[in-house]
Amino acid sequence: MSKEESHAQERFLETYDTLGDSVYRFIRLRLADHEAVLDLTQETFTRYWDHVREGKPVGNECALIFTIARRLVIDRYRAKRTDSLDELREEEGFDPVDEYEPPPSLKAEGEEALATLAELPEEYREALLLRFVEGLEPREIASILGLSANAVSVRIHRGIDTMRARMHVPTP
Amino acid sequence: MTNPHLNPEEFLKRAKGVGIPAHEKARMRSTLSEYAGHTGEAVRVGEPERLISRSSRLVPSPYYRYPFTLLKPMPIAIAAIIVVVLGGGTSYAAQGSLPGDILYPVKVHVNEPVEETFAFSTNARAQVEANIAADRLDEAAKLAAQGRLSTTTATELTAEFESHAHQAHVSVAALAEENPRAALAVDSALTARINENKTALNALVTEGKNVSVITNFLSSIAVQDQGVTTTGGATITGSDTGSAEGVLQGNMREEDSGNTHSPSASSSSVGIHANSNSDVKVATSSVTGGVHVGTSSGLHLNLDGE
Repeated sequence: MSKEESHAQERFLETYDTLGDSVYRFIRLRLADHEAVLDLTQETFTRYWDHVREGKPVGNECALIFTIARRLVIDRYRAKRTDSLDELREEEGFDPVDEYEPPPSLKAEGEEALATLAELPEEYREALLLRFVEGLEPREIASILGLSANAVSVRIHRGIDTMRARMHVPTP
Repeated sequence: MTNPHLNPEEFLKRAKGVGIPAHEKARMRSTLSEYAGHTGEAVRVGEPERLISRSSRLVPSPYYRYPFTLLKPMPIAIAAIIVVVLGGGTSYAAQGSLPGDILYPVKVHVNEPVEETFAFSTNARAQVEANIAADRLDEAAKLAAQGRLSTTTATELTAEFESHAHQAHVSVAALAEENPRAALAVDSALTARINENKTALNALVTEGKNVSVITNFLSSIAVQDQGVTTTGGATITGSDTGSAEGVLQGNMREEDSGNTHSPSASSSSVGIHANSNSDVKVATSSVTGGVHVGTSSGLHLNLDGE
């Protein structure tokens, strides 16, 4: 293996170390089945590696990875809408997160915060997570969600208002 | 919501505490490392990605035709009775059982055949077989850790491992034609689990536990392994890399010979032809049920785009 290659692989694993948890949280917003979440988290990184190896432009690494993750989740949804017995069996358990009920054992504060996010209307979830949990800029979020930066800011704003209302926190 | 004094932004930040469960994270990391190490050599930056599946490099087990070697017909009947009498929960309880446990026959003769039956797609089939193969190694490692690995059990587990690994390889080869990425993922995951167990077993040897049985177990896998090298088998490669080596095969030898990454172009008796537009063809030879079938199938895989 050449030096460059092993360097690239090291970088790739570092990327996983840094962003693995973030991708996992992001996917959990939309999928309830834990196995499926792990599966897609891993696939996000193998796809990312393929992308890098093919020499395609990476640009903003973090934004690219979230974009891949999001696309995989959407694909998974689509796959669910087949009625072949085969697919149905394989996809069993891929319930959209609307039916998400955190198991009672997950009492940790972090889980509570994530569950609260997952209960928000879909358009706010990802924007809020990326902004406040992962600390991305609205511009980056816009490229991940395929929206304008403006639209993202609006979503973040409304999302926070919604949360405030639910948390009974007075608007400052 | 519990804390009315907390502002929403602060509250959300707590979600940072959620991450991939530790053991899953480590496992995923080793799978990814395997995946990257593998494609990393086969693919060149800027070229369309390409990979050829390795196929049946493992010697098929002589027990291949007799999948029920681990236990004879009598225990199979007992397994069925246990499930009928105790109900479905048994099958769940059996999942973690080890050879010698009462519920082990249920696991091997009820749970696993059911999984196999319901694995409809090639992908599911490959995953199920790979998982079962790796489960046999897990069991060997667990038994060894408890000092319960007998020579007989070790032999049976080796046979079962070989048999399922062979089936996994056949499925992976088929899968590689329809979905090379998925095939590689299954293969990487299996390799990662094999390596995990080899590491665990080697650690036990170092500690001086059960040395002879474990050493035999490890080498019986290695012997099978060397047997194949000369009979041929398919491999992968992009262009001129020396990485013409199946992952499974490669890693076993690596560990056994104690040297890391010596891609053995020399050891592979495989025909790889790259024609002018650099598609790669591989002559596969597979061995089934003890009969050597030279299927110059010209396995031809492309991995362009998504």
